Amino acid sequence: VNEASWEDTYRASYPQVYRGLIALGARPDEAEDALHDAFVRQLEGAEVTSAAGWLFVVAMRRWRRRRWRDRIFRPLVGTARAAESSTDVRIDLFDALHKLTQRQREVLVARYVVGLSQDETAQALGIARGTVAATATQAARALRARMEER
Amino acid sequence: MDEDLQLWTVRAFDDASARVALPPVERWVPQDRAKEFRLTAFAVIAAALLVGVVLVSGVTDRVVPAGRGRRRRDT
Repeated sequence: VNEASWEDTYRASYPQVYRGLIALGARPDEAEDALHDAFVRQLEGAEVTSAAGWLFVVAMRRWRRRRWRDRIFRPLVGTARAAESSTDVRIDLFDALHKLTQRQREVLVARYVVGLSQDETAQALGIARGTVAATATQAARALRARMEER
Repeated sequence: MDEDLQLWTVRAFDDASARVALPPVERWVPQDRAKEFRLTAFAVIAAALLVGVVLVSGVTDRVVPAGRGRRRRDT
């Protein structure tokens, strides 16, 4: 993939992946940084199969790594930041999403925010297609129950 | 996943996602940091040269009023 065509692909996937990171709990600045890191990572020669899926997983890993590093090296700042809302607008669905397991959150976000197919989700997250379907059903059921409790 | 749950999930995530504001498009692609650094370095050097030229060209000899000199103490 040359730089120009990668930039086009990246721009096309940016909105969904950015929103996916926010849904998972990233702050806006963290989501931007993670996407920038993923953009540069591809230019350094990483192989991309499904653009949106690859970008989502790489950006998600970058964000998590950076968040851990922040927590280790700046514990007080990390705690204060974690308490802040991830977006300016409080979104109930994303709050409820945080009550699910990490795997459930990732599957739902990959499927319904990033817009990946079952196969792409399975490939991106490194799990079986059947696991994606079962996890999505279980997670959506739990999420709906939580939202209806509110 | 049954159709009702599928529909609820799609709608709920579409609504929630639509409420997340995206950063301005200019910020989507990272800036070339090396290029940025070169531009900054160039700007700093140019500014320093400009200040130097202004200082050198603006310097005139200072006229210091002559003092009355020290009075010699008679011993």
